[in-house]
Amino acid sequence: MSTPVIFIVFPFALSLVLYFLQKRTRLIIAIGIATSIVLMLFAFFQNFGAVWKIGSVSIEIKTTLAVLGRSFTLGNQDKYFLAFVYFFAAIWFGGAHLTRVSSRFIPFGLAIISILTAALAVDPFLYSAILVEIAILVSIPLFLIPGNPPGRGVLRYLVFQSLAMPLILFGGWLLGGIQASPSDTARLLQAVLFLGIGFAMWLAIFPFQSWIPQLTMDIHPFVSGFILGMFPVVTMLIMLDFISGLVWLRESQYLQPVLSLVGTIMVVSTGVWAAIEKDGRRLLGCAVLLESGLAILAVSLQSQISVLTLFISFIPRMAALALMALSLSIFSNNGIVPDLNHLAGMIRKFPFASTGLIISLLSVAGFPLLGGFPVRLALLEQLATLNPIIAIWVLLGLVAFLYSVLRMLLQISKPEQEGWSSGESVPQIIYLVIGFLVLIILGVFPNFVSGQIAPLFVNLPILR
Amino acid sequence: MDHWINLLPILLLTAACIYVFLTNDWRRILIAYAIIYICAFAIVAQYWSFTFSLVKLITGLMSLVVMGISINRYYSIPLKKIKSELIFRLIALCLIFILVNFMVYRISNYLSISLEIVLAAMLLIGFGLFQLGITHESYKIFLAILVLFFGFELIFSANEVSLLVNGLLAVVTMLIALMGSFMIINEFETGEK
Repeated sequence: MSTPVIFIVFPFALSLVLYFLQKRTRLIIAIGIATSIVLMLFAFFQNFGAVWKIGSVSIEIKTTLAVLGRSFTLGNQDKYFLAFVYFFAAIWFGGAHLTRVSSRFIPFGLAIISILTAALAVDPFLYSAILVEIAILVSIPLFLIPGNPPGRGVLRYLVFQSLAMPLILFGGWLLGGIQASPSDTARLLQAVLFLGIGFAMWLAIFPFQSWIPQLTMDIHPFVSGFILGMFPVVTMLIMLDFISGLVWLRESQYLQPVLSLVGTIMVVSTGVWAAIEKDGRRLLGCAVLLESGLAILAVSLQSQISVLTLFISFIPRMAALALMALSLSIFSNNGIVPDLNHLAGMIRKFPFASTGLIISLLSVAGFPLLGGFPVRLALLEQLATLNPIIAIWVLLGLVAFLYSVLRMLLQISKPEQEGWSSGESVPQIIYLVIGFLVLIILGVFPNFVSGQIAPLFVNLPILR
Repeated sequence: MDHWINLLPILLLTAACIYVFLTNDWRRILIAYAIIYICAFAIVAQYWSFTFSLVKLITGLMSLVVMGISINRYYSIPLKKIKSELIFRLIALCLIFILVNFMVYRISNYLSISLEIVLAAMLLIGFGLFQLGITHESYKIFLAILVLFFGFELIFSANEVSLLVNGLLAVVTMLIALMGSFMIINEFETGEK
C-alpha cells in the first residue's frame, strides 16, 4: 500500500463508480463526505513511510508509486495539503445537497481532487502541467446547464487554462536541457519566461485575469467557489515547489521585485475593480484574485515565515470562499440575482445568507477579528519591513475592496421590506452559522488553530 | 528543407487552414482539419518512427470523429459569411503565416528540429491562436485547441520521446474532443436545470 494509491488511485476509482450512481444523490453525497473525512483523518494522523497497524494486521505505507518509469510521491511534507484539500472537499460535498447543484458535482469533484493531487505528487515537475490540464478538462461538465449554451466565461476559462499547458511543458523541457549547461543564461531566461507566462495563466495573474469574473457570472456560485478555491491553491503549490527546487531561480535578484510588482498590481487593480463592482458573483471572482495577489506577495518575501503565513492563509481563504459561495447559492436558488439592486433589504428576508455574504467578504478584506485578519496583518508587517511603499499600496487595495463590501452591506441592510423572516432552510442555517463561527474563531484565536496544525508543516518549500 | 517534396504537404496544410476560415460548413471544416492531420503525419513520419507518428495521426483523427458525431446531430444549417468578413480573415491569416515564415528558420536552428516540422507546427500554432481569438462557437474553439496542441506536440515530441508524456498528451487530446462533444450535446439537451 502506498500514499499515491490511497490519495490518488482510490478517490479517482471511486469517482468513476459514483458517476454511475448519479441518480442516488443522497448515497453519493454520503459516500463523498465519508471518503473525504476518512482521507483527511488519515493524512492528519498517519505517519507516511511508517507501518499502519489495525489490530494484529500491519500494513507498510510507502510514499512512492512508480508508473511507466516515473514516480508519484506523497510524503510527510504533503500531509498539510492532503488534510486541507480533503477537509474542504468534505465541506463542499456536504453543501452540495443544500445548494442543489448537479448530482455530477461529487464524482467530478472527487476526480478533480485526485488528479490535482497527482499533479502535485508527480516527479518530474513537467508532468504536472498535463495533469492539471486533464483536471481542467474534467471540470468542464460541472459548468454546463442542460439546454443552455456555455457562457463566454466558461470558454475563456478553458482557453486560458489550456494555453498554460504547452507553455509550461515547453519551458520545463527547455529548463531540463539547460541543467547540463547552466551557464547558458539566454536559454535560462527564455525558459523562465515561458514558465512565468504559463503560471500567470494558471493563477489568473494580471493581465490574464479577465476570465475569472466572467466565469463566476456564468456558473453556479457553489461550483465557482469549489473550482476557484482548488485550482489556484494547487497551482500555487506547484509554483512554490518549482521555485524551491531551483537554487539559481530562488537566488535570482529579479525574482523578488517581479513577484512583488505583480502581486501589488493584482491587489490594487482587484481592489479598484471590486469597488465599482455591483454583482456579488463577480465579487467572488474579485475575492479569488485578491487572495491570489496576496499569495504572490507572500511568495515574493522569500522567507520561512512568509511561506508559513501563506500556508496558514489557505484555511481562512477556503472558509471565506465556502461561506460566500453558499450564501450566493442560496440567493441564486431562490431566484434572486445577487447584485446591489436585487439584494436591497435582503437582510430581513435572508438574514443568515446576507450575514454570511458580508462576513465572508469582510474576512477576505482582512477585517479585524475575522479569519483573514491575522494573515493579512502578518503579511503587511513583513511587507512594511521590506518595502513600506508596497505595503501602503496593498493597504489601499484592501481598503478599496472593503469599500465594496461596505457598499453591499448598506444595500443589503436597507429597510425596504417590512418584517423579518428567514428564507433559508434549517440545514442551510446550520451550515452558515458554522461558517460564521469558523471565521470568527480563526480571527480571534489564530495561534490556537495554527498550533493545532503545526505538526503538518514539515519541510516547507525553501524560497531563499 | 531536407527535401523539396515536403513543400507539398505544407502547402496543402496551409490551404486547409485557410479553407477552415473561409467556410462555415462544419462538414468541410472537419475534412479540412483531417487534411491538416494527414499532412502533418506525412511530414513527421519521415523523421519519427512510423508507429509513433501513426499514434499522433490516429489520436487526432479519432478526436475529430468524436467531435463530428456530436456536431452532426445538432448543427445542420451552416450560416454564410459576408464578403468583408472573409477578406478580413484571409488577410489576417496571411499576415500570421508570413510572420511564421520569417521566424521558422531561427526556431528550427534554435531547437535543432528539421525545418519542415517546425514550419508545419508554427503554422498550426499561429492558425490555432488566431482561431481562438476570433471565434465564439464552442465547437470551433475546441477544434482550435486541438490543432494548437497538435502544433505544439509536433515540436515537443520531436525532442521529448517519453512514453508517459506522449501517452498523457494523447489522453488530453481525446479528453478535449470528449468534452467538446459533451458541451455540444449538453447545449441542445433538454433536461433538469
